[in-house]
Amino acid sequence: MRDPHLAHARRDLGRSLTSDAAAADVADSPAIALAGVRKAYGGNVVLHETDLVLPAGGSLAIVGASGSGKSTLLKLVMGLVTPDAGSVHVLGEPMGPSTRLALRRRIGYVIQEGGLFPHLTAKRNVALMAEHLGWEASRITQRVDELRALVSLAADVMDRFPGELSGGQRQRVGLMRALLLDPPLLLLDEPLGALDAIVRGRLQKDLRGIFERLGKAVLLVTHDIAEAGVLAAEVAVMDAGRVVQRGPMRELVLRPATPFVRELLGGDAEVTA
Amino acid sequence: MRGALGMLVLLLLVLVGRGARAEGPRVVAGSKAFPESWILGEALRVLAAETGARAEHAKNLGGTEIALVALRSGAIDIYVEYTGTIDEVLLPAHTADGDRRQGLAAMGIAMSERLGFDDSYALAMRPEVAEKSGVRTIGDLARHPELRLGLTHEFLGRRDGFPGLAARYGLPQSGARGLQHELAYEAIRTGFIDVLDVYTTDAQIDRLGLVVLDDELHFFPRYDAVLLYRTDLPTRAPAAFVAMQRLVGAVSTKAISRANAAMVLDHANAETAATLILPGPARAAAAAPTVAEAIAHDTLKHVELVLASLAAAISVGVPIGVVASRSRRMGGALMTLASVVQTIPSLALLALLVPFLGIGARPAIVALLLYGLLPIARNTYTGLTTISPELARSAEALGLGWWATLRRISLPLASPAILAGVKTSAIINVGTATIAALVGADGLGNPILQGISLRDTGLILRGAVPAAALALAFELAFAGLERVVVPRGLRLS
Repeated sequence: MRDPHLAHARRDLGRSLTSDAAAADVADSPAIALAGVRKAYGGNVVLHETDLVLPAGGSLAIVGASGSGKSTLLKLVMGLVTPDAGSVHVLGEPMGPSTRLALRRRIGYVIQEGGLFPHLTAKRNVALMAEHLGWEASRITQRVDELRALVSLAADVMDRFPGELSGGQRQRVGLMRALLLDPPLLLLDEPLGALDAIVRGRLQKDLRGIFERLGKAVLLVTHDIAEAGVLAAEVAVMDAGRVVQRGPMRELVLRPATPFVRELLGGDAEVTA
Repeated sequence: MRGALGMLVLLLLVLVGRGARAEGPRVVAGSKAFPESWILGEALRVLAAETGARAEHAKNLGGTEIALVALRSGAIDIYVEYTGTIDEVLLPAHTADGDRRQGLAAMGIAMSERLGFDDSYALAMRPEVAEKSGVRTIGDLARHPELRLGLTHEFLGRRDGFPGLAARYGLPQSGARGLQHELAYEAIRTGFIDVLDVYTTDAQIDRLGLVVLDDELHFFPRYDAVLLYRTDLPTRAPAAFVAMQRLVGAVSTKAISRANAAMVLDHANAETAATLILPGPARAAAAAPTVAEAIAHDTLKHVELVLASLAAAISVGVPIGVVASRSRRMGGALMTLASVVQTIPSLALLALLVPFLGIGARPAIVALLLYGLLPIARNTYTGLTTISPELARSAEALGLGWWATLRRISLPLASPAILAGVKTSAIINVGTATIAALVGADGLGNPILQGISLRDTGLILRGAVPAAALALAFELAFAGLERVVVPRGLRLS
């Protein structure tokens, strides 16, 4: 079996969309394709039958309250849970026990606070997979420097431990770690949830710039509708285990499909879900 | 830094391996855990050493069964046993020397002629109680059910001990307490008991003025001292064997009682006391080690025991914790097992291990390993299962695979908890390692055990104080170790 992440890792940032045969494969398939996926815990259905496609290079924000099913959707894509019905394809391959490990290396994953490991310095957090794959030290340093420039962090930050970093710095390091192997797909789970408003605003802007430059497929999960609009081209609103509306933000604002969507967008208080 | 825990284990194993260098052939005399046995063991050692043999003395074997296993396995070559004990414990139903020899030969053990003294069981009583109640014989006890008996555990359990005695004489006393032999003397001196079992050569009988009760029905068999030795000893170390044979027919009851008194009452060491029974011209005791040397030796051996068992407990306990964190059912079973082991009394655990592992450091290390397992396994489990869900998910999302995740992420994150468990285990083991003396392993348990037997507080402290100091030292050492083992990022704030 081919080892796609190696092919990807060999390429540098600038050429990440142009490329060799392996990437061409991927470019043809959607980054994520959920078909008839359903998930329940016990008798409690958290995700009703759902079809969802994220094209290669596209960006989609999933917005919903807690319990809406958005976290479950993310876990399905990561292969952390298995669907009760339907199929999950990621980067053209079915997500399953045999493909899970290789696929995860082609997905960059960022969570609140970056999910950094407190026992490793920022640099070693970023380089974890590279060390595991046996990269040479010089190659690791070069790659870390590239990523550091991309997320605008100072060099001395990399030798600090997560406990010594600010929230915004942690988030940027988390993004560096997600981008290390140059994955075609990024998953972001409430990435900016723990930051104060100013840092948050600056980081949103930076993130949008980075996404545009890299041209990667991005799936973002957030409860913040404004953030969704800034970071993603399309927004999918989830409520009670279903995607109730999907489209560009402008469309949602102009034509909310349900009272819930209207309320979410800050519509008038008379409308209650 | 991630390999630090592994390095620690390696370091401990190296330290332990140091003690295990092999040397040439030797003669090992054994003794059980009472002064008379030490004196005889020491006498055997001195006699063998004089012939140029590399003679050693394995002291404090925890009972006849342990001594026998030691002899059969070759851990010791020779020790002094009593005919009555041989009959009851080793060879039921044999009463003639010919039968004894035959039965022993089947086990590769030979028996010498008698040494000359008889150390029988007897019952003895506080003089003032004897006077008041008019009890002079064992039979008289039947008329006084109110008398309180304090008997050794072995005497309570053996057929030729209390059960047989009570049946023969129709004794009504049912609530006999089991006591350690030397503590029983303390109990009778202070009036907590009225009657105890004694050996007829015990030094304390005279000193406390105890009345030895007449065995008018001749229930107690004779306990003539003889040498038991491996049948290969005469050919393997002929000169030493001939020298040790010089004790045969040469030790009178008076001589051994005097030697016992020298040790128990005058706090002489076994080496000095042994000179009182050695045949031929009076000998000067070989230069005994100074107190400081003895403490240093015992402490070093103690530390070796603790480190060896700790290394073993880490290499077994951490994997158990890991398995437990991955499978709740398997983990629960393993954790329960480790807890159950913890409740087994140390003497019982050692008695279970000796048939498989012989005597000396090995069974002691295994027992300590078992006692040290639970804190390490439980803390490993707790450390691994309390990693925050966000970090666990981040780790899984990387695509590292479970082993790399464990090594690079989970174990380092759990290292503070694991280290705390190792520390608990180490400190428990510093205390528990004193039990090693029961199976003839060196360590601080030896002076403590001898001190209890001799009622010599100084000797007890010679073991107890260094043990307490060691516990403190381990405590401090672990504070330092934390800086090495626990990654710096986890020590922030």
